[in-house]
Amino acid sequence: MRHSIRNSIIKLIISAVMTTIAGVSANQPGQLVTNADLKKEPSTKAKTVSELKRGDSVEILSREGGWYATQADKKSGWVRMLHIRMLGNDASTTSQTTSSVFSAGRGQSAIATGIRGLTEENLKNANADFNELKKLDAWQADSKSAETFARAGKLNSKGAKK
Amino acid sequence: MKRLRLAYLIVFSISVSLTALVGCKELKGLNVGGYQLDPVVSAGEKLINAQSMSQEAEIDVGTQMAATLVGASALDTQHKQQAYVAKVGKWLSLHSSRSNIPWKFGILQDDDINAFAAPGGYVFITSGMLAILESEAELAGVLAHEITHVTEKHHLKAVQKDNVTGAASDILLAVTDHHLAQTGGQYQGLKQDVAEKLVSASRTLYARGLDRTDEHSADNGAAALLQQAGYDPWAYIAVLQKLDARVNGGGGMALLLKTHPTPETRIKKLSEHKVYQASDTVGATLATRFQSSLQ
Repeated sequence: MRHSIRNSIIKLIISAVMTTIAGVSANQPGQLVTNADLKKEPSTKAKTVSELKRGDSVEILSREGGWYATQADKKSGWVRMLHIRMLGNDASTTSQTTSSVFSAGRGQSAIATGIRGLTEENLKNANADFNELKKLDAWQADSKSAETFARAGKLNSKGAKK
Repeated sequence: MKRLRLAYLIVFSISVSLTALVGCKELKGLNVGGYQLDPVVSAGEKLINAQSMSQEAEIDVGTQMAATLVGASALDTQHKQQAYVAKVGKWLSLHSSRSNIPWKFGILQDDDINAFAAPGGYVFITSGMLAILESEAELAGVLAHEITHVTEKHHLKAVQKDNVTGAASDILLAVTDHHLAQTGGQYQGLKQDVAEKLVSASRTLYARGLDRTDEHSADNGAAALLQQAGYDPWAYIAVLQKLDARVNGGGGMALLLKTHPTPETRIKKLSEHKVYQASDTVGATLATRFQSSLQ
């Protein structure tokens, strides 16, 4: 009994950490679009945990390469991304991630400004604003800072073109 | 076969030189040595307009178009976020086929989920789009798609062949070196009437979208560019899946869905790209840096 509680807690912690590391929100529902094997590890060579059927619902926990870590009923394992369709949920109409800074502004700017925004209508009536465009210049990075940035992120470039 | 190719080359060269001396309009219907120059001249025009427009001219065209976009939606004022997006964008651009143009990346303050590009190197992403992304690789995917629109000159070609504004071929003709050769002058920036026509063309183009084949091409380019720059290409499939999940969702996707193929179609086509067929495709995701950079 204690063993399984501890395992559940560990799984919870792992999933919380994984959602941060692997960039997938908790509670992302998905559905199988084809029959697919649920694997113990993200590899076609890994042991098959179970065989999922087209239409089965899963909860997507995290991503690694072309695989999703999923959970359904009591089974967890890895499925190839292309076998899954991500489904909308309540959270998908608002920002899901805990650290998103843009959720606060969602919906408000349209109300506040009334006429601005990138709707078809507004685009068709847009006027060129060169002063606004000029603001871009201050933010741009040069090659050197981009390279430093890449190194810091350990991005394994296949060779920048000159 | 060789003779035909040589003949074509000769006629093409003649027509290009004649055009430079005489001007396009006078050549219509001209018959030289049994060859009708008309179709060759039109083909020549197409080649000259989109492909050999000077970089200077292309940037001016793009500036007009980009100014229209920020006219519709102002830039996000958060410096840290803008600088971060610009770094990711610049890093990607260094791996593109046009690393030397003055790329400029920006976040548009808008809740809708979308991204845009303009000739000369302008790439925009909306704050609404940023809000649904969860890693740097996903952000890189969106930017890489727009970068590909620029490297493949999709918007220039669209403006050139668009007849909705009624003045399409005039615009680029007036801007290209071809026209300059005719007038004997140096490129000196867009003339007022041309600038106005470009703004008009931009409005239509951004509201309607590019050819769907261009969109699939940009998706393919994104996958390749991600890999070149060291990001995990699968992150871009994740982005498309997130868009797919929101197709029937609470809004903010209207324009994107109107101007692009469905996310489902895009995933289907993109999954055939070799980076997704290979079993050894790896790359960075960088979810943590993404989260902390957008705090």
